[in-house]
Amino acid sequence: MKNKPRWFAILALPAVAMLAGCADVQPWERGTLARPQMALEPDALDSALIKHTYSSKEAAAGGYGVGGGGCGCN
Amino acid sequence: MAATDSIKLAALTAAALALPGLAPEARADAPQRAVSLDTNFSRYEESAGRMRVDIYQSSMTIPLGDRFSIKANGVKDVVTGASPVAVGYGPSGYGPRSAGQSLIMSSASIYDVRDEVDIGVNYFLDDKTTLGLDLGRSSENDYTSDFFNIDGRIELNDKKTTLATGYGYASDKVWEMVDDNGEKVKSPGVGGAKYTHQGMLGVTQVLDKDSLAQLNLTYTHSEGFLSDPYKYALVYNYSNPYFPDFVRDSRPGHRDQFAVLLRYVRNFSALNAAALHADYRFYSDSFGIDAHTFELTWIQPIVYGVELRPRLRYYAQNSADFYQPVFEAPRADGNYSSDYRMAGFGAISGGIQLTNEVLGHLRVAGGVDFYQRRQDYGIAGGTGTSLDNYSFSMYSVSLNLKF
Repeated sequence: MKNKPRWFAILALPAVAMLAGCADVQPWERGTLARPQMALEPDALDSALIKHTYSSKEAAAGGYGVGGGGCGCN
Repeated sequence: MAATDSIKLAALTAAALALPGLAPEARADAPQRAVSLDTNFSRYEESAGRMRVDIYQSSMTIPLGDRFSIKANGVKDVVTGASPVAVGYGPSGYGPRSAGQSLIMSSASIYDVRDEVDIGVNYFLDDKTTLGLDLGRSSENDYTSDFFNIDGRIELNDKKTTLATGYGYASDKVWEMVDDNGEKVKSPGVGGAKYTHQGMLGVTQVLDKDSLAQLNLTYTHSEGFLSDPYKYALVYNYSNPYFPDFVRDSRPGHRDQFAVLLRYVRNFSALNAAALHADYRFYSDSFGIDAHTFELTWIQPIVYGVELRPRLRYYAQNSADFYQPVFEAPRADGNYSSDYRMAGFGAISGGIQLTNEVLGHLRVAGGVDFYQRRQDYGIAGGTGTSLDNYSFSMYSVSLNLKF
């Protein structure tokens, strides 16, 4: 875990900005946010498959959720 | 393993498989409350005659009253092809140190089937709080995994902020299968058990009427047998510099993995309500690997329920502390790996998916993705070899019914 303090600082900045910079959105203004293309995972099955493929071919994993079983991926 | 055994090594049938199948996850997304049925077929194919996997997936969600929904997933992977075993010198896997390195592959007769089943339940405590539980098992001829996940999410701040948390546990067993006169047998004393604990904290925030963002932190602790029973590393020993040894892949017995994910989604009303998804993930682990992932997806509604979804991804990692293509000297800690996934490299991938929603209940989709991994695409540094460069393609078709 190299240069961890620096990376924490870099990643903390957008997180703080994200929480501090949000506008007041009324319930009747959220129609756009409810559209399927605005979902974080518009196609959960496809997303899970491609992410699991990447995690079996690369060292990095995680970030998107927890759980699931391991495999003898090679 | 002595160098003289390298021919035998090259002939070993590595039945540990490419297996890019589905692993269900407890996610920060909202669970479904409608009846839905998803099916998907995908073909994963690596370059140069390496691994090929046909993946069959199905998923069904059924609500039970107002408070519960149950979900069942099934996956079958059919795997064939060959996989890298070690890096050596010369065409036979070892030779003079001045000769060029070569990649030793398993035989091309790998065949395995992986089956995975999991079932989960969501409990809707009220219109703001959801709890979930999922149990599952995955099995193949050299690997089993039993797992469960629990997760919870709560909407706050007039539903503009969502907090999510999750915990996952997996108990895995891995061993080596070898070819004994045409019969696959378990290799005694190779492999072991692995236990994994995972935790997640996430916050999703509505930024304005056209955009939202998410920040997830995940931490994973694994212990036990974390090596690959089918891989070897070539290690030179000072006492006999002309005859190196092939030693089994050997990694530390515990691993801590940390990931931070930032996601941003924005609507473009002027472009027929297109949506941009931008993700960045930073990853770091106790093996000494740091990685960066950048991903962009554009979802473009066209007409009559047809959508086009191009996506682009860049990934880079540095090498593990105990990785070398070939070890010029023994290591004091006894850890060795020449596994291409422990190397420093970069990868560029992209794909496109076409979807069509009919009558609001049926959605059909087809897509293709290409992935190119190269040592010189990396920006994270570390050691690697161009012998491990390869590419893969993935084709998929899916069908979704929702009521």
